[in-house]
Formats: sequence, C-alpha cells, structure tokens
Amino acid sequence: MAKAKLTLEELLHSAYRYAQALCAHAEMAEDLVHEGWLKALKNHGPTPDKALLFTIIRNLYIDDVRHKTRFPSDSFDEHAMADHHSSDPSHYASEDRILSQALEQLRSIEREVLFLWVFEGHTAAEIGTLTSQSRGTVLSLIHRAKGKLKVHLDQHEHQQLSLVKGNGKESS
Amino acid sequence: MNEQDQRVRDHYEKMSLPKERLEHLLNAEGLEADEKAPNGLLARLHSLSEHYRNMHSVYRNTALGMVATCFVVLALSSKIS
Repeated sequence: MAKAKLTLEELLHSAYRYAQALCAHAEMAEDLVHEGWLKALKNHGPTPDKALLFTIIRNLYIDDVRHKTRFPSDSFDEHAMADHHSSDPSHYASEDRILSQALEQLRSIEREVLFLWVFEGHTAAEIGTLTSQSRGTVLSLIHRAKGKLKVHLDQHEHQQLSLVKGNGKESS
Repeated sequence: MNEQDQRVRDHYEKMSLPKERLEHLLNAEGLEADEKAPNGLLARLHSLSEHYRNMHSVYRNTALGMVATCFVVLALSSKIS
C-alpha cells in the first residue's frame, strides 16, 4: 500500500514537472495536474498510466490555450498574475532563476520536447509519437531549444562578467 | 549529456507538487468531493461565470459597433447638410 502510494506520489510529481514544462507557470501547472488527475481517475480507474496522464494534461493545456485565443479578454487577470509571480522567487520550486527565465522564453512546444528528451529520457521517435509530430521535427525543435537556451545563458554570463569588470575598475 | 542538459535536468528534478495539493489529490475523500463537484453547485457557478465572460465580450463588441455606427451617421449627416 505504502509502495503504491509512493508510486502515485511520484506519478503526480512527474505530471507536475511535465505541466511546468508546458506552461512555465507554477499555479497553472498545479491546476492542470489537479484537473488531469481527476479526469484520469474518473475515466480510467484508480491507477492511471503515466503516458495517459501526460496526454490528458497536454490536451487540457491545448484546450486552455485555445480558449484564451478565442476569448483574449478573459486572460487579462492571468497575465497580471503571471507577471507578479515571475518577480516573486518563492513561487518557483527551482532556485535556478536564470534557467527559469531562459526556459520561459522558449515556446511551449520547445520546452515540452526538451523536457521529454532531457528529463524523461525519451527518444526522438517516442516524443514524435507522444506529441503527434515527425522525428525530424522533434529533432529540430530540440536543437532550436538548446540553441536558444545557450544564447540566453551565455548572454547572462557575459553580463555578469562585464558587471564584475566594471566593479573592479570602480574599486581600483 | 552536456552541462546545459544536466542543468535543465536538475531544474526539473527540484520541482515537486506542493505538499498540500499532493495530499488533497491522494486523499480519497477529497477526490470524491471533487468528482461530485461537476454536477453540483461549483459546476453551475463555473458555467455561469463562463457565460458572463462570454457575454462580456459580446456586449463590448456591440457597444463598439454602435459607437462606430454613430460616427458614420454623424459624418454622413454633416456631409449632406
């Protein structure tokens, strides 16, 4: 029983990480997992499959994006909330703020593919099956996402170096 | 796996669902309550708020249309006179 509960816990944490990779917003990710979990339990029994849960969360996210595109005025408050949260580090489980910012700048599909590749360890073909894309598209998305991340992280490193140099000159 | 990939991996590794939400989802009673909610008051409130949101955009578009029509009528009437 304890082992089963631990597995369910792990499954929920994995689902949360995947939702974070999709939307890059802590509270929205929580809501996606909550809604997805209830849907999975209701329609597929008490021990839902990981792939199934990921698919449900993905579909919920796509529905949400479509709704926001159809009714853009509704998302006003949520944008304000996102801005507020992005300035508050306590809303992020990870302390790597620079990487968080870099990931936020990626498109959701790039973040998703990168997460499935780097964290979940899926192959490009498997990701293609999960996200209904060709293997080539997946590979190019991964390549582009990694490139964008590298540019952002290098830029930040360069800024830090120039700041340190500036401070050194001032002190001397 | 290069350094950047490892950093991304660590970033996601540190993420976890908040304890309160996790316990709520693992709690059978909580789940039952939530499962009942779609047919109950919460669901009706949700659909009502959705309805008002949609109506809000309809009213806004209608008002904008009326203002635009007024401008056109005023411009035409001033030209005719």
